[in-house]
Amino acid sequence: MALPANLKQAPTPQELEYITGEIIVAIEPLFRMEKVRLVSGVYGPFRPPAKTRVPLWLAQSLKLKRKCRIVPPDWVTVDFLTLRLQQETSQSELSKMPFRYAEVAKVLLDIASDDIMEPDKIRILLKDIREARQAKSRQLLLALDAPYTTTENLCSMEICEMRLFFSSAMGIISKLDVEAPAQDEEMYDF
Amino acid sequence: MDNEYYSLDAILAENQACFSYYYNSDELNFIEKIECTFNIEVPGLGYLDNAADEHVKALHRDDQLPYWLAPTMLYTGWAGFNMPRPYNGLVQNAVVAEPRSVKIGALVGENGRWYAFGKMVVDLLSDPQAKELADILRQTFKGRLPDLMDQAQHFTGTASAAARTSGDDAGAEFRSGLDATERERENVDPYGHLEGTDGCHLRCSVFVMAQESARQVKAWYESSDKSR
Repeated sequence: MALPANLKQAPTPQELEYITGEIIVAIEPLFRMEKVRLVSGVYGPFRPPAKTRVPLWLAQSLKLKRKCRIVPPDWVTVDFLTLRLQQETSQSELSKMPFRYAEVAKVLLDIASDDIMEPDKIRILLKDIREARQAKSRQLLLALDAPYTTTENLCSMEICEMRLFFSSAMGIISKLDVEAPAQDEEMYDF
Repeated sequence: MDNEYYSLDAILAENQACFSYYYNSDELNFIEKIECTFNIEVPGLGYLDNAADEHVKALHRDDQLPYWLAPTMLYTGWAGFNMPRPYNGLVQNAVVAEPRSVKIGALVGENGRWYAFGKMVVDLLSDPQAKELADILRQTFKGRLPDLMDQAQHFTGTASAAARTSGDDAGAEFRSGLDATERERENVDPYGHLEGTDGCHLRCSVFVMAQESARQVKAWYESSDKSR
C-alpha cells in the first residue's frame, strides 16, 4: 500500500488519541435535548443538571462549544496521583494505571482544565509519573531476551514510544544468536 | 569474448555479487577479509596475499582471504583460522568488562559494522567457539541498549535537545562510537530501512527508530487539542 513506512509499523500518538475518543466519560450538559441515536450508540437524554455518559469525542466536541462540563474520571485527582507517584518511586514494578491514562489526561487537561481541581498540580504529577515509569521501562531493556519478553501494566502511549525500538532490538538479538548447526552444514556441503 | 569467460577477475566479481545478494547487505564491505594461515603451499597464488612472493607459503600468517573464499579453504583444511583483530581476546575482554566504553564502531573499517561482520565470523567458526563469540556479541548489544535508548530520547533532533546534550561529553563519545547497526546512515531516508525488515535484520538502525518514536510522542505531548 501507499502508506509511508512509519505509519505501517505502529499507530502514531495521534491515532491512539483518536482511539481513546471511544472511552465513555460523564458530562454535565448545559443544554436540553432528548436521546440522540448515533452510530456507536444512543446517548442522552441531556437534561441539566443531571449527568449523562457519552464518548470522549462527543464530550470534547460539546465542551469546545461550551455546551457541557466534563466530569473528570476519579483517577484525575491530586490525592490519587500522589499515591501512584509514591508507589511508582518505591516499588520496582510498574503500578497499575488506566491503560490510556496519558491520552485521556492530555485531552482533559487541554480542553477542560477548568473542570479539573488543581490542573497544574495534576500536570506536574502526571509528568513525574511518566518519568518514573520511563526510567523503569529502561530497566526492562536489561532483561530483554529473544524470543519474547513479558511485562505488566505498560500503558498504550508507553508501548507506542518503545515498540519499534524494542522489536528491532529483539530482532537483532535473535539474529546474533547461533542458529541450528544443521543449516550451516547444509550450506557448505560439497 | 572467450577470454572473458576464463578471466579470473570476472569470476571474482561474479562471486562477490552472489555473496552480496545472499547477505542482502551491499554496504557490507567485501574488502572484509578473513585472516588465515595456509597449511599447504600453493604455487602461483601469491597475489591473494598482495605479497611480492609468487607462491603462498605454508604456515605463513596474515594471509588475507576474501570472506567468500574462506569457508572453502577452512572446511577443506587447507587453511587455519585466526580470529580477526576486532574480535580478539583483548577486545572480547574489554566488551565483557564494560560494553559501553568500547567504541565498537571504530573497530571495523569506516562502515563500522562490528555486529554484522561478527555474525559473519560466527558463521565461519565451529560450535564452541562460535557460541562463545555469539554470546559476547549478544551481551555487548544488550549491555549497550539502555544507553542507546537514553541517547536517542535525549537527542531527538530538536535544537533545544541538541543544546542541552552538547555539554555532555560521555554521551557524545558514546554516540561517536556507535556501530552502524545502532546508528543511522546519513545518506538514507530515516524511514527507508524500516522497509527492509524482511531482509537482514542487522541492517535496521535501532537508534533511528528510538529517535523517531521519541520525537513523535514528544510532539504529541507538546501539541494542544484546544485549537481543533
